[in-house]
Amino acid sequence: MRRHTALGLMAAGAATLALAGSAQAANIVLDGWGTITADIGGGALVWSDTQAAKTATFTYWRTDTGRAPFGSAIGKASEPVLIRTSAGISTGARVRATGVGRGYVTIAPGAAYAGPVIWCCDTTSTEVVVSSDGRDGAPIPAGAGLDGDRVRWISGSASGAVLGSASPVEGDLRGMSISIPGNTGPGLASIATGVAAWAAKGASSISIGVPSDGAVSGLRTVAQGGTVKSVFATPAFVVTVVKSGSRAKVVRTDVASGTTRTVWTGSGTPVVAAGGNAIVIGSGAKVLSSRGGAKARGAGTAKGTVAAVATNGTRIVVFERISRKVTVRKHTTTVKSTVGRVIGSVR
Amino acid sequence: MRWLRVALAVAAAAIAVSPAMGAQMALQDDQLPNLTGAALEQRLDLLKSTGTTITRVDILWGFVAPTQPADPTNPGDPAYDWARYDQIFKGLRARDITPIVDFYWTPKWASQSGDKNAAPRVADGSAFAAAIARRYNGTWPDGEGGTLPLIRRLEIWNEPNIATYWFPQCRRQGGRYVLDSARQYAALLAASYSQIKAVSPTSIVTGGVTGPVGDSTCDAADSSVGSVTFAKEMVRNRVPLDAWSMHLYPIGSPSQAYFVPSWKTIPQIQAQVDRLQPGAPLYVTETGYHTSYNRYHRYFVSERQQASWLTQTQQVANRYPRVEVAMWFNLQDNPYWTGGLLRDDLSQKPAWDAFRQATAGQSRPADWSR
Repeated sequence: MRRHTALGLMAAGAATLALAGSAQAANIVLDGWGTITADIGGGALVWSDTQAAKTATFTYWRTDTGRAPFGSAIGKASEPVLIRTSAGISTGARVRATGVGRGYVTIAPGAAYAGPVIWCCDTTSTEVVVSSDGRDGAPIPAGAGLDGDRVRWISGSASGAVLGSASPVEGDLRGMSISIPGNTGPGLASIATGVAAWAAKGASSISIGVPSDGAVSGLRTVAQGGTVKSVFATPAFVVTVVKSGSRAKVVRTDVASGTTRTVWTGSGTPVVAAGGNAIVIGSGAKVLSSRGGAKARGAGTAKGTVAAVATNGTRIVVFERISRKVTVRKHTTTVKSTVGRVIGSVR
Repeated sequence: MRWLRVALAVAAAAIAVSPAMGAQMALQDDQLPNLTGAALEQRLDLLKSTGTTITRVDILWGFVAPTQPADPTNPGDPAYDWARYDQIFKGLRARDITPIVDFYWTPKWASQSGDKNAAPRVADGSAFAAAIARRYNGTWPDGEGGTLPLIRRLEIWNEPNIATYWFPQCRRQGGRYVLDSARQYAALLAASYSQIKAVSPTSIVTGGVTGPVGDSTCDAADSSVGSVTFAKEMVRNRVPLDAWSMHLYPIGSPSQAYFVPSWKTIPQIQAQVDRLQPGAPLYVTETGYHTSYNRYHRYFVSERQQASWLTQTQQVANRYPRVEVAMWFNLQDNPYWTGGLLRDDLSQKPAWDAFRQATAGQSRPADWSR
């Protein structure tokens, strides 16, 4: 077996990652305005940043997935995992904290390619590729997470939804996949401990069940009252963003009972995350939180549009889009960046 | 008059190593050293069925010399075990496939750290290079009344600018890290050159073999050295060589990619090589595109792109007359490397047909037939 490093890639536009600010509240600074997802669990803040990388002669896609210790503030970030591709348009990575050892599971799918399912990390802090199917027509992962000691991911394909499962051990080819009811698409599936949740593109309901290597048991279908735009599962409840006409709402569905509660309504398409017993919502520059299924209340205002939110049930991190003017030798340009910072606490 | 001296030197070099007519698309199968007996013969048949007439074989030093030979330049020393390579090279000869050979993987007895990527001592490494050249100079008895094949093209090491294969790259000196691998490699190359020529005068000793690194950063022992920087260091050390090889894994299509090193940046390398051996041939002894993410190569393309860009690789390689070979790496995927023409399960990717088409229209130059 040969093991090559592709260090040439480092010259090809790794996103700048910097930590700025005071010791008690460091910030994550990412170049540009990418598609961001984030999560908090197991003492870590994790995030993914997907952007088109435009060069002088061509465009490719890059995804950086990073992590930093998180207690009540953000600690020092470690080297991100870099994914680069010319396979086609990326639909954006999705990362979930595993809740164990500052780990995460991330996917980096495209509109027409599967992309990898990655678990972080082994004892040498190196990522492990759990699945990376390059075949044309391979099922495209829509959501992934750690369920006990298994990495699981839900994919959409021409023939329907597929649940993949594998042990996060490098080179373990005993991973398996099974067909599950319905189908799914980008951002419409999610895995948490003991929970698989997914929706088909354009569907107004979600499927919730208990995943295992051989089946999804206890399957129930829960109407959401509009078109499901995103799905985020926790062990106790599933959060969906639902659109109905020009209105949007955030729905919390209890895993055990299947009961639903609308915790927020508004316009646009908000970004959401959950942790503990809380849901956090980013809509424009507004940040809101909901605890225990109560109506969401304001929790802060970002300095720019909120690209992603994350919570551990107590603290809230936002990734906000910032632009600033920089003048070099009388030439002024606008520099875009995305800043991850603690904005406050769940209310 | 400097231009005239250069021109004469170019002409002399062209006589010494006649340039090929267009770059040859070739293919490496890194599984060959892992197989023996019938399994190896089957694998060689599979390689032959791709249409390739040139391949590359990694000689793993640690496999051949698990214990220290008493007479290391003598391939007949009982410490050496060449069995698997004898079978590979005889099998390639029987199938009319010309090998380029590289060697790496420092055996424990020669490793200062005990690791197989440890930079070799010059005397040990060059003695092994000489042993390879002597065993495969076309006159060494094969034990069956014949002789072992002649191998003319010998690369000195594999990717010595990357810590995966050569450690350390940098050493701490006076509170900061300084580049060390290039100087050490230059010494190995120089010593290997003279020892190889002594036992196999027609050998084409190939230096560089650089891995796909653009920037040079020397801030740790396992840093990497850019391929252009590495070539400049060889010039500074005035190393002897007959050919230069490099590995290209471009980001972007072969015609569009411009990050160092890619096809468009070959002239930067060529300019350095001309300062060492004007007109020396260039070999791209590894190139390719991965069709799924793996942590050892984080850039991937679709399977259809891989096929299309393989075809484009041949077209782009032909724009550089000095490039004699473009070696696709690899025949088959494995969990660590997904740039194969075949998937892990041996099913064919679209690139399989693209490669066969590429080789169908080419004829191997006479100079490459022996």
